Amino acid sequence: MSSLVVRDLHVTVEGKPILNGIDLTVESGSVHAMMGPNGSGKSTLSLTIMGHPKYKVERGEIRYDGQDLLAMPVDARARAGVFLAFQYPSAIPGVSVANFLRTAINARRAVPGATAGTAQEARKNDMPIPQFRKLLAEKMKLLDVDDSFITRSVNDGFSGGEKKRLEMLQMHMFRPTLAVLDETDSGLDIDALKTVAHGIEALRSPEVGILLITHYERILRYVHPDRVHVLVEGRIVRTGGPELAAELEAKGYDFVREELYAGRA
Amino acid sequence: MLLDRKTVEQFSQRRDEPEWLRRARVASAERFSPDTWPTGEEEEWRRFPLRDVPTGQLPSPLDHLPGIAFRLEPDAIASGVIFKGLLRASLDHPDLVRRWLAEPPDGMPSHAAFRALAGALWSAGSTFLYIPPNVEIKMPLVLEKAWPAGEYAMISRTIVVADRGSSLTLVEDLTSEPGPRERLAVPLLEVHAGDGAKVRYVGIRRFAENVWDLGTQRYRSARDSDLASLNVFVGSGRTKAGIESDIEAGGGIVKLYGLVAAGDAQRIDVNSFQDLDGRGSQSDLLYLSALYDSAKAVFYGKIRVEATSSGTGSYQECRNMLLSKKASADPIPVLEILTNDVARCGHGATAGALGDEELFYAMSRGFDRQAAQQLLVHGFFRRIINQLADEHVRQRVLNALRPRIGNIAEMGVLPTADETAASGVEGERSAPQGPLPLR
Repeated sequence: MSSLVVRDLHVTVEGKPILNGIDLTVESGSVHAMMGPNGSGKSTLSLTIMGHPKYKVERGEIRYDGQDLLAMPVDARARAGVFLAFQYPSAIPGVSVANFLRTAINARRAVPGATAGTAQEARKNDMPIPQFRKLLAEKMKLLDVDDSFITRSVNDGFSGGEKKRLEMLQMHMFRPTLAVLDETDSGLDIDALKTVAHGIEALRSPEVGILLITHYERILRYVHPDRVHVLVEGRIVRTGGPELAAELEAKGYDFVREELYAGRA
Repeated sequence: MLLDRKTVEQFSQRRDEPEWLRRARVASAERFSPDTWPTGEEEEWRRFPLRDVPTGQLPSPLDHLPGIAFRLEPDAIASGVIFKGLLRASLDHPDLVRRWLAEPPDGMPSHAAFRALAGALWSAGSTFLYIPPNVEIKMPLVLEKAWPAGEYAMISRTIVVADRGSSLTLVEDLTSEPGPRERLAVPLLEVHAGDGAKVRYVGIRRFAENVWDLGTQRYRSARDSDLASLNVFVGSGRTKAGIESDIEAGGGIVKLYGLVAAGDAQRIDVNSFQDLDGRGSQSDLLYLSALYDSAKAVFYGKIRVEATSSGTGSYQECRNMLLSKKASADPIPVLEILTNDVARCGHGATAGALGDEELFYAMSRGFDRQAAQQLLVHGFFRRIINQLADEHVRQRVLNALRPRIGNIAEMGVLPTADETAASGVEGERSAPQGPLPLR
């Protein structure tokens, strides 16, 4: 049982405060939805969890599985089981999807510190190629990914929907224990949305915690969160069960804003 | 650094060369003069530390490189292919060699001195390759040229003649044993693609760090010929390469590729000259550099579209990836278009650091910084490496790059074409990205 614990998190970007004291616990086995309007700090939260150098943590802590995540480099966080599905994934021209997936899997399995030793030593934990191919075929089927996908360069010339699908494929190939999905549902047509939702539901298990960051309630028709949080101006202003999402859908974000300002006044 | 006639004559006599060959050397030596030696004021030489060029012993005591092997299939020998050391070929086939030994006119003036030097003092490592009309050599011919340690200059001349309708692939892998003193390398390559001939050349230059490589290359393309070359620059402390392509008649196609992987205080300086004539000729150049530490790449490239040409297409592209704050690149493109009748002509040049977002993305997948960087450089170079059709040649290129850009060959994960059929998983051979593959 591992959990993500965020305490009193304050984050600035280029000196500008974006997150102003976030407290959040995501237990493994649960799905949390983080909802909020544009500019509320949703992406900042996800990128800070992953360790983007642009986001500066001024105060607070992020622990995962008892470890101080903030003290770990980006790749160590990934190897500790954290996965971020990017809102805007980068293209890597010249590196095929299949090549990227397998080398990433092997990088995650590499013997720590073995890079200094022989290449063979470093590679002894590599996933055997037949096993890799089998896993890939399985996950491609699950996510309804076309065969032509894997020989193309990572995100290079991909449509918005294809990029999201590749994020889902990576998520399933890497088998994280904490998945943070940053607006993976945005810009998708209904079929792609259903596939993505199916991918998220398929990841759900007692060992995996999921933090689903979204602007719209739409995806919550297909993915059923245990907890829903509302993020406004860098603070979680409401937390509740799935009914909160329905309330937001009916009333829009304005009602939480009004409550927030009323509270301040 | 100049060469007197007597030195050249003695050099030739010591090697028991025929009179005609001696005269050809002396004729070259006469062009190696204060008039042809660059002053450093030339646009091509302005950025190069010309004054520091080592002036050691020019004539080589070595007539043959140890271990060099000219391997030919029996079929090729039977069909009249000649693949030998240049001196051997001069003795065995004087009439043929003599014709190609004379320097063709109108070479790049900036590199005239180094062509002349190579013409005068070529020795160990020099090669003559002749493919008769309509003969097709399918297997790549590979020459490993390894110079032992020493202080004398490594001056060689490779002449490739592909007669009409013939085809070949030649790979030259140039290395030298390291040594304490700086020394000169002047590899001169001359490629003649006859009417309709198809020529592929791959030159891997991995001289030791104490070497100044001042080599030049001339590619001459006849009607409807198809020529592609790849230079892989990984070695030598200082490199100043002149690369010249001359499309003399219509329908010629030329692709000039280059990969530069430099580190430490290496300096790789390339001058290219793409000259187009005839109707509908095409000349495209693509150079990609990955620069580490305080390495510097200079690329001064010119395209000239001749007044007598029509409907030609040409492009010059130079991309530099800077992997350290101290690394730098200077791409300088020049276009000289002497006619209005041009289908396309252009250039593109960039120099920039590895993208932070790309690096973060890769690291978020579990690659440490170094592995993420290797992955991105590997992807960057794939644009050219994917053009290499032959798996062995591709591996050789990757092996040459490995000390600089990392262990990328092990990233190959996908099944080969045969395995693909069995497993149902697509192979890695994605569609070629460039305008024309090196196939």
